[in-house]
Amino acid sequence: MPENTDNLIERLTRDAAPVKALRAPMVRAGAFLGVVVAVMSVLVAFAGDRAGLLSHLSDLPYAVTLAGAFVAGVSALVSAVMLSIPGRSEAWIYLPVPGALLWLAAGLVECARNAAKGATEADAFAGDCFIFILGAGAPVIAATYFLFRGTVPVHASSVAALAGLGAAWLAAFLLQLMHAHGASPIDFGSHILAVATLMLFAMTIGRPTLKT
Amino acid sequence: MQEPQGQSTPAEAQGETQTLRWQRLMEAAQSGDQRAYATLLREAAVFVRLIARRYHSDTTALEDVVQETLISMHRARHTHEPGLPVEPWIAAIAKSRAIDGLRTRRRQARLAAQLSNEAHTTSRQSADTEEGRFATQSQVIAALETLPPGQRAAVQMLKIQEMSLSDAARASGKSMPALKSLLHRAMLALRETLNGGRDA
Repeated sequence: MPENTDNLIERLTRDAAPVKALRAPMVRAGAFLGVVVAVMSVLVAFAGDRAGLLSHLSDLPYAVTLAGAFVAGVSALVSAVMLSIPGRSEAWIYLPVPGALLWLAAGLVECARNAAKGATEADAFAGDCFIFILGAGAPVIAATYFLFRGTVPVHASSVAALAGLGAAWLAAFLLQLMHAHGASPIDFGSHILAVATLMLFAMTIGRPTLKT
Repeated sequence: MQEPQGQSTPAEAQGETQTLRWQRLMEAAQSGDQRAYATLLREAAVFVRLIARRYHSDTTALEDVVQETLISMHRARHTHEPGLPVEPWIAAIAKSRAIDGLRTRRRQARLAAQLSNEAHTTSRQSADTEEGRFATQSQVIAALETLPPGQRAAVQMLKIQEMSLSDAARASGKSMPALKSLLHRAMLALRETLNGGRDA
């Protein structure tokens, strides 16, 4: 680089107009999640499968899968926001792990139990579930533009991946509220595939946008 | 991870720690205090140099990292949260820019090797030895400097930063065919310069 560092400092100083510091990451994450949860609540209020949900909530693996998807979704988005600010601990990347493990473990238990009983009727929903998660998750990924606007992440790929995972798990949570039914291996596999697809999608579109 | 500390300053001698001092300078800089900002950047440059030294031994590469970090700090200065220490914020940017610097140098070396292989067919000099590769990489960097700015930018974005054609077109404000043409002419000019250099 031909420019002298002292000259660069002088030039940057001349350009240094006052800037408004970003609001605290937790405040931004909280506001974003508040809007997402409010929209989801409206959708569930108007189109949710409340009767099915009430009958399934007493089933522990189902309830834990539901809670795991929500916890994983919220924590993935919080960790994405924390990592979007330089200097925050890289350990934030592990925040969604407990929720993700709960979701995955309870989902697999539910699948194994239903498969052992020969209850495979949920297989018929696999395609619809896949499309629902993609359809509900993609707008959340698009909305994260407002969440990350003004940030200059040094871990652009991780931030994009976590945002995609967060959106996907919240979409999987919404799916269980809208259409409550026991999972089968093929059906739950379609959930996992949709979550992975959204993560890759977010990385593909998010990384170049976020990269500094 | 413990980050290296910058040089001690008169304020530190008066009992103000570097952490508090940089916090105060950063908050003043965010409010538009150019003097505070210049002081912060000058002191940060020393701190960044210490971090960059872990990744780069070459002085030019080291200074590139320092300058890239200062530019990134400038662009991202609104992302520092008032009330928090500035060192981790600077260190994260510096580490990221140092790793980017390593990638850039690897790409430069790859480009040099690619051009060297092509030149090898018309030259007696072997590019297979470490010495040969090093000389060729230096020659490529020097040859890049002789290119017109548009061609140099095309090589920088498409071959060294490995940006996609559409991203490079967006970043440069040029059309994709225009960029392709600039790159093609740049590669021809580089080959000619490097072959000419060897033949001489």
